[in-house]
Amino acid sequence: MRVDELTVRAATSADRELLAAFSCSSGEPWEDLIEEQVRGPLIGRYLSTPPYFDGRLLLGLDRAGTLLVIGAHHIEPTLHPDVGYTEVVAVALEARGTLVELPGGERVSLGHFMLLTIFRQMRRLGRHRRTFVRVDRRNARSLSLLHRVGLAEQQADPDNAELVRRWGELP
Amino acid sequence: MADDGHWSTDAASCSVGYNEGMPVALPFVTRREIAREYRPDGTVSDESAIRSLRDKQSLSAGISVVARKGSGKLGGRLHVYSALNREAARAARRHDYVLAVRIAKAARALESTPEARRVTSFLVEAIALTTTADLARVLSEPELLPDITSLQRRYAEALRKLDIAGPALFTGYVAQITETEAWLDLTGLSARVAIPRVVVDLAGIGAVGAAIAASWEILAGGRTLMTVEPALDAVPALNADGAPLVDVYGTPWGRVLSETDAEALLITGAPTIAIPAGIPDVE
Repeated sequence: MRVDELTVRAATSADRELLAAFSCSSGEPWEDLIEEQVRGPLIGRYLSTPPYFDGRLLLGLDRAGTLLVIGAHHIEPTLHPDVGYTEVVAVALEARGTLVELPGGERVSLGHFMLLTIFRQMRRLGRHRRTFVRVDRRNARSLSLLHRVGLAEQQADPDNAELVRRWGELP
Repeated sequence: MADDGHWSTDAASCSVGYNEGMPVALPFVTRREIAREYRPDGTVSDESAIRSLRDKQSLSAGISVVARKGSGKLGGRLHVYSALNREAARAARRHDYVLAVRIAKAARALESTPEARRVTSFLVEAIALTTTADLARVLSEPELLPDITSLQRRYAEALRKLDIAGPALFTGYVAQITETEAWLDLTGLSARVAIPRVVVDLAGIGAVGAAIAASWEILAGGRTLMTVEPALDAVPALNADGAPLVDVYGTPWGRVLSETDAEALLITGAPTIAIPAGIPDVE
């Protein structure tokens, strides 16, 4: 699909039903976790976030209003400038494999597209140049995507042995 | 602030450390905090203020706690109330007794929850418990975290149901103390706030790193009432719905990173991410 066929906007309380029906898991435990969060508490957390966390929940929809991809990021406010943490990127199960064609001819996956959209928003918001995600260490699909996007520096997660952190630097 | 002001004169130690946790206002308070909400000018005694609120059914029963010391000796006696009673006292101060009674009922319901009972049972085992600062210190114990978090959620839900906004409340830490000033680092404010040192000393939180809750209430006639009190430390923040602010893996927001990430945060000047044309610029 062409990029102009996609709309990315901030989630509102009217999107609760849309998210409650969102499906992104093919049965892997790390995908089940994210699907459960997206269908459940994620939107509540992001829509009523204290301002110092500046939570952003983005939805990517096609022209028919079908929700294809979501992204959620907030800041870790104890550092200056605030560090952007991408908490969730999830692609709808039925939209897996969809490629987004950018004006320069480059084609990226929906997950890749959402990460780049988040990173552009982080730049607009003046976030720390260094940014990171947490990901299940078994999640090869996401680890590969993160490598392509530019989050290649991997560290063990000190709080959860099942996770790794991937770091990168914004332009 | 003088003894009749809005800060406790109780002497207390405060061992709360600066750990970049999330301080939250106390879910339980003593009669002193409630009396001061009701009569901030201090023109009546705490006992008289509490009696007046009780007569107007604007106060819940509260929970009596007699802390045990070693060898069965008493370590202190304290009557605690749900912090919702502060809102009831404010309503009563404005002569809105209908609302005050509703809030007191909600406070009573909150005090009857299993979480409240478990927390107050824990207080009985506290070594010394006579001041609000003592209360804050004991309630910050990690093993109480699930119950305290649940109580915070119930508190937020009650405020929402009662449609109460309350005063502007900020939590944070005492960041610096000089001979005459205390500098407060309050989450959500862009700069540190300086207040007279005596204020934190009298409240039992005169130590760098002490968790604090500071509120500003606009009174009738335009006066502003500032209150600085001890707070609980290291409790996950809650959003406006009263839900814990944790990420999808259960880590509290604001505590994902630590000093161990200093190296990863060093800017190299060589971006690893490129943003091609066509990526939306979302506000």
